[in-house]
Amino acid sequence: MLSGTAIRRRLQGATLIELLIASSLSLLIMGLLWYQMQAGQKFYLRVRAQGDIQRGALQAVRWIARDVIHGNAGNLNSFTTPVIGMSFASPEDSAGATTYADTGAIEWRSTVIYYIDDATKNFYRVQRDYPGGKQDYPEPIGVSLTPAAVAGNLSMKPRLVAEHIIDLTVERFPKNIMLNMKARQEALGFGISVRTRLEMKN
Amino acid sequence: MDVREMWLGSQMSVKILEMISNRVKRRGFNLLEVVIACFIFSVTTLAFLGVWGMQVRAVEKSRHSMVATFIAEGLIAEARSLGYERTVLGLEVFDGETEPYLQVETEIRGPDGTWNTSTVKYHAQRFIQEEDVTPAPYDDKVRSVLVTVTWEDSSKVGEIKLETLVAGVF
Repeated sequence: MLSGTAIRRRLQGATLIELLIASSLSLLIMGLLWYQMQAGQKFYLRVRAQGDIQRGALQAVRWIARDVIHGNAGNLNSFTTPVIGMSFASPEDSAGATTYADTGAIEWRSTVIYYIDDATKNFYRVQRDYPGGKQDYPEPIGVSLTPAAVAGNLSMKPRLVAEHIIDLTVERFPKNIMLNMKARQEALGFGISVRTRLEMKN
Repeated sequence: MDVREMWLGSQMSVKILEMISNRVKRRGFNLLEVVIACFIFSVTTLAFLGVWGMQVRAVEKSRHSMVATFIAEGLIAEARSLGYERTVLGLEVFDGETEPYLQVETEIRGPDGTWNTSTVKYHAQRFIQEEDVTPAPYDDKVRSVLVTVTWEDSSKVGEIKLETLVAGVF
């Protein structure tokens, strides 16, 4: 049987100290959860952006590989002025047409240029058809690679290939090239370098 | 009212008071209960935090398999563009003599501002063979193309395989 005092004590509820301690603990846990949720959100955004950078770099490599395989190994060159890039002769014109001479030899139809826009770090592709339509030799190195000529070619309709590309180097070998491409986003603290050997059949 | 009625009345009021006190008792928690609940909640929350580590590893693995799939798709597409007649039967290894087919170096900036790098090497090979096509009325010739891409980083090795068919129409 309960006495009157005991019943009164039960009816009193929690004390101020108890309430303070309980609410402090609740706040602490909520703060911890909030911090973790924020960290999770940042992690998700960073992973997504990293995936975009990686996909862009790989996409750029695939574009180059697709062009280079038909390109002319002797004609290929990389340059650093006025922008970082590479160029080579292609048997395809900008409409994708390829022709062969009566002798069966390849007819060269265009110069393909890949370059990095220094200001935006966007990676572009430009294809410049030969003025005469086609010729039976690839344009010699240097003809389209003077800084002025490259700058002139870059004013043609460039196609955006990838973003955040900061460097492109090419090592030449007789029938293939070693391509090094570097993408980086400083704000994100993430970068990726891709290195691969690409075959050149012509 | 006699003594017996008074006694019964007092017993009833005591019963009512006990019922009220029981209801009041069920309404709230005392400090110990709150602390224990908080402790259990914290332990559960902290256990869930361990999932982040698993996520980081899963993301890394998916990044590797994404690159490997990218490579394999390129080699499959090349074989398909060559078609039945121009594909070469047998095993084709795409690695160089000393280097892998593709090497990816990832840089992540640490809290101190330095860039930490990790390298993953991808090896690729393609195996093409004739396939028997049945039933008999069909005389199409078919070759199967199997591309295998393996990768290795500092601690783990992974592999993906993609397969397709190229048909010759005669």
